[in-house]
Amino acid sequence: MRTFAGRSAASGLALGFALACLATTASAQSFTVEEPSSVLIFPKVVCDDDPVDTDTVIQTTNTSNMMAYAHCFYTDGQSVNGLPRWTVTDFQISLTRQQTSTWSACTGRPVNPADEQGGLDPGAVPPVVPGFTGSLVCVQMDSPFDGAPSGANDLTGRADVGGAGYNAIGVPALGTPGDDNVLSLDGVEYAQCPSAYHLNFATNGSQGALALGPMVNMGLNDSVASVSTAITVVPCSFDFAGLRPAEVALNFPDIYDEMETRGSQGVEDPVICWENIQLDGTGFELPTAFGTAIVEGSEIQEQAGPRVPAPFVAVASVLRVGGTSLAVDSATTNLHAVDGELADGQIILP
Amino acid sequence: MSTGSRTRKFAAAVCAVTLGGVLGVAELASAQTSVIKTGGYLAFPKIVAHTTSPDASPALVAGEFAKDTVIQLTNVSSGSEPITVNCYYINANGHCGSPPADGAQVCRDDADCPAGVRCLPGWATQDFQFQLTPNQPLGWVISEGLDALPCEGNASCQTFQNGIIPPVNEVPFVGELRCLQVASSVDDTPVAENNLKGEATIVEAGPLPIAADTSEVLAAAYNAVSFEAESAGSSAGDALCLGGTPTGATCLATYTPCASTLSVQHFFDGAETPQGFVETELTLSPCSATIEDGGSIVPDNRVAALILVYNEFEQRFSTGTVLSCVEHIRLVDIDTPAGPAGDDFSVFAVGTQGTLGGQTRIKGENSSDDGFGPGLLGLVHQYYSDEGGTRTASSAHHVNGRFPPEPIVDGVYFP
Repeated sequence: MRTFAGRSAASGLALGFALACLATTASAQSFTVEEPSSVLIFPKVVCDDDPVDTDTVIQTTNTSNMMAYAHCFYTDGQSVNGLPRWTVTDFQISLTRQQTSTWSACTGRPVNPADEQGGLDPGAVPPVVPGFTGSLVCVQMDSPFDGAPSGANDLTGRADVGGAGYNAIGVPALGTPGDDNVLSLDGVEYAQCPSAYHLNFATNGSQGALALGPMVNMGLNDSVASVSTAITVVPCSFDFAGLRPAEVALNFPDIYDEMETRGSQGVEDPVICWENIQLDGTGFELPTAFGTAIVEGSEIQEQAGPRVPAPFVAVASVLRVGGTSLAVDSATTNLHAVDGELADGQIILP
Repeated sequence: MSTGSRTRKFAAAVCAVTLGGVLGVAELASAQTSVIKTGGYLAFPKIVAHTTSPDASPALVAGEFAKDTVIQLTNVSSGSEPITVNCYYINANGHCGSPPADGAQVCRDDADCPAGVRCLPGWATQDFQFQLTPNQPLGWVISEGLDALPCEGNASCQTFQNGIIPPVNEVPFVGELRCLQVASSVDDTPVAENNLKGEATIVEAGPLPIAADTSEVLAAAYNAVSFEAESAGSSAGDALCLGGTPTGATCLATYTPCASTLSVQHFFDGAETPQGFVETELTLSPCSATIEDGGSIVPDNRVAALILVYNEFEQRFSTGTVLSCVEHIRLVDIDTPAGPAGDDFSVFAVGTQGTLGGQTRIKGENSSDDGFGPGLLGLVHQYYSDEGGTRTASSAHHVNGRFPPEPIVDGVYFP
């Protein structure tokens, strides 16, 4: 049995001959969760035992018939004693043609051909620190060490956070990236990121009982049964050289219930680096089971003025509690971008 | 597309599979379906219901999980007018020996049928229509539907909110849901607007009987696959054209194409992860279909799914299956008999592959010249189980895709 727990055995011979078909450079048009890309962003990575033991399993795949290399960065967004850590840990991976590589955030993946996790190790993937709540960014490079950014758009990824999965958000290169260490997510070098999203959600508490599905009719929706929604937000700019966290001001300017009643909700503090935001403000207390909202990102401004869009990426997680300690599960989805709402970001490599 | 062209495509695909690696060719991108953009035509590839209702037949038995699907659908338009939506439940239940119109017993396999009677596949549609006011979200559970759309009595929603959401017509139910933005309640012509977004959550509770110290809740959510309307067509047309005009079709409207190749990242079955032992169900649904209001889907659309499987050793395996309509299938049942027999011998079993995870690439091929295309939609539904085999969590994943510059062409027909 192949497991993450122990590692032994099984190295194997790579078969196959990449003969007929050389990979060519893809040229996707915009950020994506479907097509291979040169930058992957996993907004939510958790290795924590509070409130429940949670690990994150990362899968990345090289979809080309050539070797692919990536420089990856964990950013720890957790706060310790009220102080944010915002620390970055980087590592490099190499993927053979069509290879998927899998690792646990909590345990990482050391290079050990004799371990029980079969397959070609992609390189040493470090474990994150206990209590880690943050993001992972992987940038495709043209060589394994100290290479330049590659615009081959070969990478896809997915993450399972405690059994709730989502697709990595891909930022495709649109042309040949420069050989500097600044990746411009400007719609020229790389695709832009969204600055606003549509968010469908189930109303917290009893009004959202319909979202509990079969629990409603099975006696599981007792007094502690509930449904709650949170979004995990990461600004779509990363300075891995200067270790300066990016910021974005978040706002919910339009919240609608199923009866077309409109409300709004602000977020008091800007999102710096990484944030998990529970949708529990008064603006989300709706009289119907379901609601929809616009989530807007803006630059932080000293003085009042027109909104300046700021790029960010996000996923939504819905937690369903069925009335017993076991009857808990969460589901995570990617958000829908608002058409035309894009903004420039950048990634600065060390 | 001409027969010759299809023949050449099929020959090319076979040749390339033989050589190995054609499915890995990166291609230039074109407009595409998406799960993070709004659209005018939405597909929810997997909706299921099997509740404890006394009407459910066959009934759930001890050890099984009750399940239902929560649909959320939103009109993202902030304009002044409501939009009209036509939706179609596509019932992919098997039935014992006769089509569903005859009221035959729903079955999952032959064991659910009387001795000597086969469980036969069949596909039927159930259509309904409703209006969504600007920015209105709507949610329902498919086993219950909505008797009336939410309305607190203001003039706006009372005036505009026509329609109901019916429950699915059979429980248990397996199938899919497709929704289309149309002109009005009296005009079913698709409109070239993209105001819909949707999500589905498959919620399960069990194992039965429910008990506080043993019952689990599983939830897996995914976004609907969204087809963006690119241009309006003829109101006298007969097809939604996906990526172009199929042979012999007249387009009601043209939408973005399906992916030419699906790429699925997954665990091999039986892999032990921090969350438990993994079992995966794959949903594949042909993009092309004939959808007859209230009738059966004409099952003459046969798409061959050519499947390549890569493990973490870079080793490649191949298998395949043929689809006529949506199918939800355990990964290990693609190349072994349905059920647990032979699972350990599947190319999707962790013991066969020797690695935890891998990539599966799926290319549809339709060699007929009947206006149906090779496009496929996909969804991964993953279960985690404890050492005793009890499911403890689930998740859903979108599949990745390739969208070549010359898109593949599919058609959805409304006779």
